[in-house]
Amino acid sequence: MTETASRKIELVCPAGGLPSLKAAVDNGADCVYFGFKDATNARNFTGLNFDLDQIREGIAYARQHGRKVLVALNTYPLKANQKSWTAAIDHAAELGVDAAIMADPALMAYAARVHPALRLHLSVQGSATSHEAINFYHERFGIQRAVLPRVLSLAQIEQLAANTQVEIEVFGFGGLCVMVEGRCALSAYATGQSPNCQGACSPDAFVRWEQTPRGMETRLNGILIDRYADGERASYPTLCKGRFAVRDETYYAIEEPASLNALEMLPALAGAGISAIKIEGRQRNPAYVGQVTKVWRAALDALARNAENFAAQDAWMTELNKVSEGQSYTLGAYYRPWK
Amino acid sequence: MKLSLGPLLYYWPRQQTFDFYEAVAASNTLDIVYLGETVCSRRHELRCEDWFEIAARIAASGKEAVLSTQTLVESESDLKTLRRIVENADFRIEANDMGAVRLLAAAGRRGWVAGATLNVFNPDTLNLLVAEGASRWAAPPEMPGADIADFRAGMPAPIETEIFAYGRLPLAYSARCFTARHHNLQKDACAFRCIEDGDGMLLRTREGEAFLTLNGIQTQSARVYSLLGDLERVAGHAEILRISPQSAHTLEIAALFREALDGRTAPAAAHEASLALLPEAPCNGFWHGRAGHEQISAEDAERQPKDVSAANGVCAAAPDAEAPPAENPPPQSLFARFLPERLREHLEARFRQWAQAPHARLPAFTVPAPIAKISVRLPKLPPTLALTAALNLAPDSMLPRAPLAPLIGRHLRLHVLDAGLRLDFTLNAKGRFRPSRAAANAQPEMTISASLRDFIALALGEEDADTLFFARRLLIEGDTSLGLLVKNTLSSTKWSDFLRR
Repeated sequence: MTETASRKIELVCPAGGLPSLKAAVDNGADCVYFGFKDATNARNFTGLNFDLDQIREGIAYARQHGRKVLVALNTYPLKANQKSWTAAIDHAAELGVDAAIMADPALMAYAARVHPALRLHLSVQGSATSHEAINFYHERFGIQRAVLPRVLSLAQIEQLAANTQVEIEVFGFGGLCVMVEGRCALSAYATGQSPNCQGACSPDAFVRWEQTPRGMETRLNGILIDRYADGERASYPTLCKGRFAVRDETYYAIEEPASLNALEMLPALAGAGISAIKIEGRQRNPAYVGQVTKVWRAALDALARNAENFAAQDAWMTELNKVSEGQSYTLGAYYRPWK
Repeated sequence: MKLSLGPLLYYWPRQQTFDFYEAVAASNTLDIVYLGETVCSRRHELRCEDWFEIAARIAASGKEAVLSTQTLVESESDLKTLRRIVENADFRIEANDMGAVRLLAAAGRRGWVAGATLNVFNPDTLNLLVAEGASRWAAPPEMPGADIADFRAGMPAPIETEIFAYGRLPLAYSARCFTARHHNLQKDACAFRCIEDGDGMLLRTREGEAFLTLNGIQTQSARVYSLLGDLERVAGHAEILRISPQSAHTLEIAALFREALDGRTAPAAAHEASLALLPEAPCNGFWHGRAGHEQISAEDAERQPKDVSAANGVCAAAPDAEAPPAENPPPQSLFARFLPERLREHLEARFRQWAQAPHARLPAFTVPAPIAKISVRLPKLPPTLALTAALNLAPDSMLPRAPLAPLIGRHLRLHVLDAGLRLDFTLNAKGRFRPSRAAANAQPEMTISASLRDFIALALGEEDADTLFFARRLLIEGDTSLGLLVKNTLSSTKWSDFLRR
């Protein structure tokens, strides 16, 4: 079964605040995704995210331009605080978002029962890496789209998409999580907080940057994550992106700071049957969101016009490189040899 | 209280693995034994049939054998293996992935184990899985004891709770193999090098602290989780304690747990005796609601209030802050009044052209050293006043004050590197920015440093703060939370409407 690249592929862009939301819409995003100012989403960072008024304004702006708004409610509640999450789902439904992106099965059951008209997407935090897992969520809760963890090769994505009717959304650009999303407790080991329950990885309260005679040191809860010489490019203090000593070598033992950039693979991804490309970066600012959205919009439009002759333009890659972590990029797991 | 042996997470040679399980079968301290390859599908010293055979040996020795499934499923071949395991109706199954749950439910299997990586953090989710046939819950290792207790209060009665109580903590899974990477090999041509590391490969920080362990595609803690010393606290919260195999002394550890549970040894003494048997220092932070690598002593545990990890959800709108007065003198005249004259002239000359081209990007420039030298010697107050006056002019709609509450009373600094300006300011309780009253040589609680050009570009939205940070053109020191709040505010506020007319 061959899928033509003429099916419209949606561009889903991050909104950490209203200016970013507008930058995304203005530069051609089909959908924007956002979170509330609390732990109900996996980017629970200081100064980020939306309150109810901001969301109303954001939705109005998006609607004016005929775009969609998705809410990320993709962390896992504990028994004690479950009401905050179900309240958030209620707010989302009342605000009229186009879909809620979730990971916890009980929340999906709640949404399906109490707000049957609310479209559900399975978050990357749900860590579903096979059609069996995706179909489980589809059959039990009616999810209509699944965001794939960044661990599958192109061939594996193709296989998966062919065996489910659920729409497939994949990350195309942004900071790369080398661990399968939704099942990573590294941050909890270092700080006591993790994306799953607190919505934060390597949270800023535990981060210290310190200029020392040995260089600029990055620490997470006192643990030395990396040390930069003068002029060396820095990266996020996420603990998997540091340099560590394993046997006699000191190197990026887990991951080098680089952004995922799958632009060159766009025709292949389209051929694999995906329905949407997701841009990572709710914690990045409007300039980033605008720049990245613009490039991907141009690329998707070029793909739609003429898939066979699609080629990633140098100008696009240069723009994306400028905002990449480590100012370099990788195809990540899409390219099997990366694994 | 039952003791279980978790699935072997490492890759051991075939004979060593068989020998280990012979010893397990012969032992009498363990009630349940989990079997199977849960980490990497490339490992082949033992195949499915071998695991089934071991399961039969374990069952024959009077223990419960459970087949544990692969945690990270990626390929059709992984799914094939999964189906083979699910088809084996002789043994209970532990599902470590939702795909396995679907297969178990479809096969009508009841009594399976909901593995820790299914992310069951609340009893409502567990109830859904119970409806699909689960009868045991393995708590995620990072779940604090207080939350486990709370969870159990909402659980249906006959469901067993199993807690990870000993071993290097499985923390993350990747498509990438870190062991192969260390040897400069790709996963598909890994030469199965992880077989060389009976307890995984230790990873240290650049100052020598043992931090993590690389076990193929799985990343573990370096420290060894052990709840032996906390047994009195743990006892009421589970029906089963899980011991994860390490390359040596596993059965001795199980024996210590058994003795302590039976009351033949005091938990503290058992913990002491275990220390020589651990591959690395112990930790028990997760149980106590702390960072996982911490080791909380019994005394500290008594003294400290329990740290529940639950975060409060807040969807409440922020309270309204007072809007500053309506009159808005143009910013240029403000700067004219307060900036050093030479600097102002320099800026105006540079910006004249730029200001006349509304779409031009801010040109790169550095404040020339002679001007910077003058700036450094001038009293700090006027430029700082220019900053705080400008900030205070921003209406609340443009710069909401309420989210800035954490800045109240804190000593903050914008360090304009090339202009030699250190602007020390604070936010008062009324939402007004003021020069900081801290002593001249006091260390600020938070400093953001950048060149003048980059600060302006950041404010105008022409540069992304993180891009500047990666390029080492922006530095945040001191309290990072405050720094990020200021950085995010600087970046997300539309100053351009304000600065350019």
